[in-house]
Amino acid sequence: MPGLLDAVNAAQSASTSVNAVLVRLTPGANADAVARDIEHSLRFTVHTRAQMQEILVSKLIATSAKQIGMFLVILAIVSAAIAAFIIYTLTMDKIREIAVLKLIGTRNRTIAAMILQQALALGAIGFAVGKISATWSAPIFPKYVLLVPQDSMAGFLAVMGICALASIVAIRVALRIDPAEAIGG
Amino acid sequence: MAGYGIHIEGLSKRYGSGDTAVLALKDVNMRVAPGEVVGLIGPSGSGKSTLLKCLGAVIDPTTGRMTLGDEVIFDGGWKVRDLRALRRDKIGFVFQAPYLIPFLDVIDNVALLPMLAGVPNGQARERALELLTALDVQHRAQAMPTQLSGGEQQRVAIARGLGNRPPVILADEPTAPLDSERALAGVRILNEMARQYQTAIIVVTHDEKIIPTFKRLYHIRDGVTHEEAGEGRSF
Repeated sequence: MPGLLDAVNAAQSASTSVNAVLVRLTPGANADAVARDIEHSLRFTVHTRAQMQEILVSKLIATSAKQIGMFLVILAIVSAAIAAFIIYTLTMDKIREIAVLKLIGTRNRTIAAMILQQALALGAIGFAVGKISATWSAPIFPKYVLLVPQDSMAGFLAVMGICALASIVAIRVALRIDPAEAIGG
Repeated sequence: MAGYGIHIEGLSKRYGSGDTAVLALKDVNMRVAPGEVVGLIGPSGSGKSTLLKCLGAVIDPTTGRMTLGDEVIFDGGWKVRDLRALRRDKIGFVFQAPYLIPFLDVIDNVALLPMLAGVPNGQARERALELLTALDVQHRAQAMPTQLSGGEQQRVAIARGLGNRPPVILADEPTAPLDSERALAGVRILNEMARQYQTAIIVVTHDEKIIPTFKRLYHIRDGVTHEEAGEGRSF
């Protein structure tokens, strides 16, 4: 591979940030043979196009996907906790109203449905605000995660699921409220 | 007592058992005719709230008999299976604070009770509008509760109490947060509603401003009721 070593040395002396050299083959050349030749003669590590694709897709991108997935799981847990806290607080603020509803004959399932609706509405508003913000702010950042419509739909369903789960604690509290609390003191 | 109204005989309520038992109500006797408003007064701890909870079917009396109109609802034990439906259909409640549902507008707050009883939405809203008109707050039908004044909220709460045209309404300190003028207006409204819908209304109150307006009063002390004629002062 005449001139390759000189080219590498020249590139590394001209810039400290060069750590890979792209070799363009003439049409019809055998990539594997060239790679073997460079490895044996120059003691460089060589990756063919297919191997580079494998490294990028299976390792770098997969690692990034795992990291993003992990962030998403942590964010989902944190947002579920926040949503649960908000819905719980909103419910605790309305103990007397819920007691009144029970006293005047509202079924438990109607009260549970009201709290669930409130949680889902919160989730839908949060998702809409998040999606609009992400769409508008994405071009500002150098790198961003591309969300295709299916991803958005999956995200929306996940938010709804998280909010439904988050409302369970508040619903349990509401169902334990005694209608007698509406009367007196 | 003919028709709807409430009749209570020898009602008692004991909390706990053995040495720690407390007899909150010992011998309660009351009769309220359809269209009549009576006051129930007594010092703190006399048993007013306990009595209201028994009448409201949220706690079980220990002994006694309660009749709503011609229907015996309690005679040593509940004679109706579904107490939730009894409260929904036969007993109206008005509280010290209006406790309106904050995310429903006025008409839906009033229509909620008939809807819960299975009345179709359109009919329930018609009935709600009729009650709001009777209480002179029909112009606020589409407003949210937070947009109403205190007096308007209390009128809406009275309309809600009448939503299923119950034979009896239990009003727990309904005028406590109101000034004299509005408190008397509140009692006048309760009297008008009682006459118009032939509802028996029991008003639990400490409010010196409204006590002279009742024609009949029940004093409760240490769990025992005593009936007396009120001044029936006009308002």
